[in-house]
Amino acid sequence: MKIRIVHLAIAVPAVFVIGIGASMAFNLWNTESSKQPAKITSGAFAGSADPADIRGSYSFGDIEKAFGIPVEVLARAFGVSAEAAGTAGLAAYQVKNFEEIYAGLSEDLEVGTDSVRWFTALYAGLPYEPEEEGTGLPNTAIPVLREAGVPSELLDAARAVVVELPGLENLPAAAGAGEAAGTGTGSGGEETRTIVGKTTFGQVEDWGVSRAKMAEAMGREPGPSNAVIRDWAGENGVEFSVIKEALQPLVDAAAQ
Amino acid sequence: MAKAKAKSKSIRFVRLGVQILFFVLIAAISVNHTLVENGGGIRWLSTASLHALCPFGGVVSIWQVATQATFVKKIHESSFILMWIGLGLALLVGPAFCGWACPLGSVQEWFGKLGRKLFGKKYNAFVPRRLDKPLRYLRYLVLAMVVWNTARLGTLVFETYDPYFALFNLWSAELAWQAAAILAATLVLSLFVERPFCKYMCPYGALQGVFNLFRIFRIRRVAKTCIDCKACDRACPMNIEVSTSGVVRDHQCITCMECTSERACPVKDTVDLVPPGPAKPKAALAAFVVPLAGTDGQGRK
Repeated sequence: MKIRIVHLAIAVPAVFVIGIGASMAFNLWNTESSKQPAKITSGAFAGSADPADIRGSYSFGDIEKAFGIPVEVLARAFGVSAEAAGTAGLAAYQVKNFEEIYAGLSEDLEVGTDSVRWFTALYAGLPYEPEEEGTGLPNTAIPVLREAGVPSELLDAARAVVVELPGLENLPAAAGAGEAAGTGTGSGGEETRTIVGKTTFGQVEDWGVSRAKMAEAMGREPGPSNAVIRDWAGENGVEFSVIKEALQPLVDAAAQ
Repeated sequence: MAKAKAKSKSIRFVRLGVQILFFVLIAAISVNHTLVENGGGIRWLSTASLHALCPFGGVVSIWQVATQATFVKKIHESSFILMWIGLGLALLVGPAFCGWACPLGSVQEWFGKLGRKLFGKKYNAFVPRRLDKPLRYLRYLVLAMVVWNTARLGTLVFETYDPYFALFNLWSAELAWQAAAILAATLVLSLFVERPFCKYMCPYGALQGVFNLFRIFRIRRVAKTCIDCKACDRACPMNIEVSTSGVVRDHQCITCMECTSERACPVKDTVDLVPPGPAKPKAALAAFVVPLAGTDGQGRK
């Protein structure tokens, strides 16, 4: 018995087709992550969708589905016109686009994925502390939040970090932006040493902070090196912001 | 004779056809992924990211799946399924994924055709043997480093250096300059050496290559009918000395079938892909380790 070239030419694609087909039949074939945010695990809001779990790949439609904020409201708050959203429509507009199209609007503040998390929390009345230093909100979000009846003290906090958007007609259309540019290990292999939602304990170690120092600052043993800090914090009932507050100074100190 | 030559030529296009099929499919999906993100694209075609279609993504995720029950970021179930398919295929017929499906391998081969025209017989013989042999083990170091660092950091560390990712993301903001530079270097080197990335650097090829030691269907040379013309050696893109092997167990074989009696070998039924005969397990290990010491896997210097 011999395997001929023609046999292999049929077998190689066939193995892939059959393998993928079978996995599809058993509902195992999945090429993208679930757009169902994690639930808040403790406190008065336990069981609600957690805005902290919004990622750059989420679209306005995903946020509407998870948090009940209409796509049009999100578009208005973040200054996205129907033209800018392109033919896919506002519902398919991805949050990660902001980090590219609003880059450089302010020296100190950034409108990006974390801004959407914060806006979502304010609008939906859910707890959330911005994860990133310099998280801003576009000026267009303020009237939307006011109309939604957001308490004045929260609204004041939002007003304090407003980023003025240029006229909508001057905004570039949404590009196929890279994921999470400018945060953690961003695109192009560039690295900024700020603990963000997707930072792992291993990255913090790599930035020169030993596990012993982390344990001392956190008051408990850090998670495994390959654990995403935010996920680990959620699983262990600790606020991500508390962990970040404890670790970021160590990262900064190690960088000097 | 003319009929045999014509047959050989048409057979050559069979593998080329499969390579083109995989290349076009991956390229189309990758472009579609970008188009859909920008509001366009073809709806009936998959919009998966390249990470979702990379079997190596499954390999580097194994530790995280085992310890955290989660995937490394950007990796999904599909990568895991493709990993198992690739490894299953390797167990059966060796690294056929490399020789038949991998688009980066195919592109290197296509550039190599140009190199062959430029340099003739010198092509694919530039690297001194003494240097070439140990360098072939570099890819295992790359594999170990990538798996270790991915497990340690929980991020796709290889993405920044991956020429396969660069090849299908030249238009994307996700493209890292390091990956683009390695891709460019790979393509330039392909003009001198056949499949340079596969030979020296590819971590997935390294893993696939290990299956050459115990694959079920093997390339076998029948010494009795062999006329020792070395046509098989010359045809092998990975510079394996098929003419001195009984069964090819070299860790670099990519099951491209170029050496077989259907292609390079002029004698019928002399070099073929066949099911196992009487097994010689010790020879398998020797074939992996001994080339480093300068012998050919059959114990000859």
